[in-house]
Amino acid sequence: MQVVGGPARHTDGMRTVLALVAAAAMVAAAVAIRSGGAVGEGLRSSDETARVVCVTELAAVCDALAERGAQVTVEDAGVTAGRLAGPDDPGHDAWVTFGPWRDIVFDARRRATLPPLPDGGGGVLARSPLVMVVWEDRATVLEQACPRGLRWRCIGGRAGAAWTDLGGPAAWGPFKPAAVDPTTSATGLLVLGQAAGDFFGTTDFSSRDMDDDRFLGWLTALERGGVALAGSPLQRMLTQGPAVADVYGTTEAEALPLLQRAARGDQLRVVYPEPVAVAEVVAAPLTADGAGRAISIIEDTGVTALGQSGWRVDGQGTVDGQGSADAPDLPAEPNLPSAGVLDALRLRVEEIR
Amino acid sequence: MSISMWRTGALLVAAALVATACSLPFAVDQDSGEVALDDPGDCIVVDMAVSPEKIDLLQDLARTFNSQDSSQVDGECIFVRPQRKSSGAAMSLLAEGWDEAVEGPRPVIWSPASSAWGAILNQQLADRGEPEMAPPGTPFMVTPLVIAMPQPMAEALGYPDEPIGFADILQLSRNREGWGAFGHPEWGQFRLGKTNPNFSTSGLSALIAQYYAATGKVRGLTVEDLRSDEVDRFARGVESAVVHYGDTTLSFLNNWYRTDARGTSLTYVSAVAVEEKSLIDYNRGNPDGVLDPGEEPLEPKIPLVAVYPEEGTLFSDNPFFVLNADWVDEREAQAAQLFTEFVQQPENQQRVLEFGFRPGNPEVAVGAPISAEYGVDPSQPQTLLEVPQPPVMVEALNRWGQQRKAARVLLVMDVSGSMGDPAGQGRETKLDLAKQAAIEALEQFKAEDEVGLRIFTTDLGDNREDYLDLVEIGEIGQQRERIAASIRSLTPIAGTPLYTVAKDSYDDLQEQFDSERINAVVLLTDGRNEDPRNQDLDGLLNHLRSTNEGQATRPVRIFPIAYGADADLAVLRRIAEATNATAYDASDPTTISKVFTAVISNF
Repeated sequence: MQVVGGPARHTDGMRTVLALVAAAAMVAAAVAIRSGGAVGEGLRSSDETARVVCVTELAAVCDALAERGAQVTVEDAGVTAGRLAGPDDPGHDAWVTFGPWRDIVFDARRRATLPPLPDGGGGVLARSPLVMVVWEDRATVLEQACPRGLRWRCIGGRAGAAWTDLGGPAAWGPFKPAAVDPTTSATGLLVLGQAAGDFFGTTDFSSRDMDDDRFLGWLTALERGGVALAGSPLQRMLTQGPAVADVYGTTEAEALPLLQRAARGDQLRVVYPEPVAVAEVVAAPLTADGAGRAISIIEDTGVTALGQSGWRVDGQGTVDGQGSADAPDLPAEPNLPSAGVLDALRLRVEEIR
Repeated sequence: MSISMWRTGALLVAAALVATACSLPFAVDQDSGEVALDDPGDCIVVDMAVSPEKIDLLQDLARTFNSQDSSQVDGECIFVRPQRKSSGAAMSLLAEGWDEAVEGPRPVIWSPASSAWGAILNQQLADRGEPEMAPPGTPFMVTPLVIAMPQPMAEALGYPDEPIGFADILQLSRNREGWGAFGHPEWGQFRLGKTNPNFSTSGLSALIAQYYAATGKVRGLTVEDLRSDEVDRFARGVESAVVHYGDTTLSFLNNWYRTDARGTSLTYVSAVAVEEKSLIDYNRGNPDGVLDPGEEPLEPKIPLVAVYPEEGTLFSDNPFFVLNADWVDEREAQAAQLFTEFVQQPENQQRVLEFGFRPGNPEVAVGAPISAEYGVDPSQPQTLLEVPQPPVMVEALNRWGQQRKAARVLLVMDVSGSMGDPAGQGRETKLDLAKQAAIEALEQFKAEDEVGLRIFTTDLGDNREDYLDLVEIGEIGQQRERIAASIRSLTPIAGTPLYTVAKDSYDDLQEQFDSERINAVVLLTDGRNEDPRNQDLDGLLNHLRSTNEGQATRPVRIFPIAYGADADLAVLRRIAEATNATAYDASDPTTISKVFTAVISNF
């Protein structure tokens, strides 16, 4: 867990570093205009400091909040969810996360007969469709192996197969689809949810459906043949090449800005796999007394940071200046399985391991 | 803690001491007039521990950063101060305790060659119930592990058309027919070069790859895998083909380069696991990656080519860890973060290419010298091996300690009169310190290693011999204390018959050559040849070379230790090089314990 109070919180990866530099400068300017004060002074006395925890993917939000004097923590969604599912004090006033993760915690507390977390703050702050990032040469071969298109049902079923079996050269080794770990990562779980939805042909499936042998075989192939990556997988792909992964599932918000800056970004194709699913950012209140001011600062400052780091805010059709010609219209809903089913998926993955 | 773990720990700590002794901790480029890195003034100091292959690059970058007005935290200037520490040694020091009086300042930023060292550090701390010290790091630059082979040898295996894997190389290393199986009996046995994984990132990565090859896996290596009899047999078979070990790959590359000049490189070693960056340096004519003043690079006659193993390989990612340690305050951490961002800037990432690394910032394209011209392929590797979980890596290191090739070593110690001179300001003599170090070094051999003790000086014994065998070579597990007792009883006597004892010790091991072991002489001397009866250095060198080259060679290595300021390091280097070994510099007698440890890392 990383806990930093102050203006210099950074996480791994050039994406964050560069995004932070840009975001910090713009946020600083905005704060100066609004408050007439100096950047970094902090807006409240220490006993009023907003305490915010962000999932790792949304570190830019916490970085911007830290510039406004908030006490911030950045950690994987699974870590926060595990803590919030217990009886201890949440330790933060608000959690910046993806919608299903908030609902997973609500469900877990209900099952544990713990007091519910406060209501409110439920509005969606930003959206981003889930994408596959595929090396162009691999995509060309996969299009033959997956004639219905590059979709997770086909990709997952071929995870771990030799590329020669898919029509590719032997030098490519085994076929390696990748995502961040779905048991701990906010994005990883959503990507897995989208993949499972494609397998069943609907997002309206239940945890009982997961007992189906064909699904278990598919999930096992995806889990054992795929790669669960930590850190900044796309950055690793861009510096270490296709050796890291052939296909990577993530959000458009992570992929597009990085690919547009990267020297070999044009060697990777961004695919919006059907059915299109969307990650939605929410600010979940965690305390009765401090959540209000925390949510307020998140809505004031965090949304700006989201817009600057590749997220679609205020109903944007595409990301400013980074729109992909292939980007589809986004559905009104996330188009993902329910939080309970996603949580059950996490457990299945852990069982397979 | 097991004995093997204790030995490993002791080895690493001592190696760190050697690394410190062999480097200039703070002041650099004293003659160049460049900004020195030894006077931070009133600035916030960010000490760095940096693996050796990138120290020049980081010192350059630190100088630029330190001189910028923008390098400050809350108005206070920042002074980044990199010092050289090998990855394994730094890991051990951070785990066991970093003595600033001996090691220099404790680092705010630690940059080993690979993130794997951070994982091992955290695992060792966790095993003791202590918090993690290495948070997720930011990769500075990357370079893949490759199998370096002389081009004709790789081509004999089908390079570049046929994929070659670790399993192929390791199977070949166990084939008694050697290169004869590929139509080249003149190249002799297949000889494998490996570095000690306790010190070397290449050695650690190669060890992981070896275990993957043994299991047929490319991911999910487990402790149980390592403990299987089949894997154990495979590993011992591979180790049996090893020429010798060492703390860095530079020993192999330097020896390869020297034998290339003599036209004998193909019978020195057939394949060594090295970082791609080192192979580029070699093919540029700069095998150790450092150009001394006046040194002109000269490309080798037979270049090396990089084999990217078909099973996959591992990257060294050179992370920057801003340590979660009680000696790092918030200002230092913020300053460290600013330097971490600075080195990621595209103009600074362009510089990593000059040094043969691939950029860690994806905005900077891979370019020259990562090209076929230097024997490497920027489109490779195409697949990776998974970095094992930290407990698996710790187990791998422990098991290697038992599986490594056994050694047969004659320890030859100078007991000439000058060894009775004071070692420093204290009352101890040079011989006192050497005895203490030699006795400590005995602990680093495994029980199956065979070790003997010979002393030399003129006029020894009733027959006025030049040397005397105090303990015949035998399994050290049976005679460790006997050797130690003999060492304790040593006293300084007369002159230094260096050439005679070097030749006779070498010849004795040649006669008793054991192909299942690393055969070596460790020759400690504090002086120069003082024997009027034998001053024929050229004759000695020719003799050593003639019996160390060729496909039927029975290689015996001489690892000399130049002990004290009067030792003839230049001559000792020539003796070492004639046997494709390395000479060690202990001109400061107080470093002898550390140097002994580095020498023993070859076995």
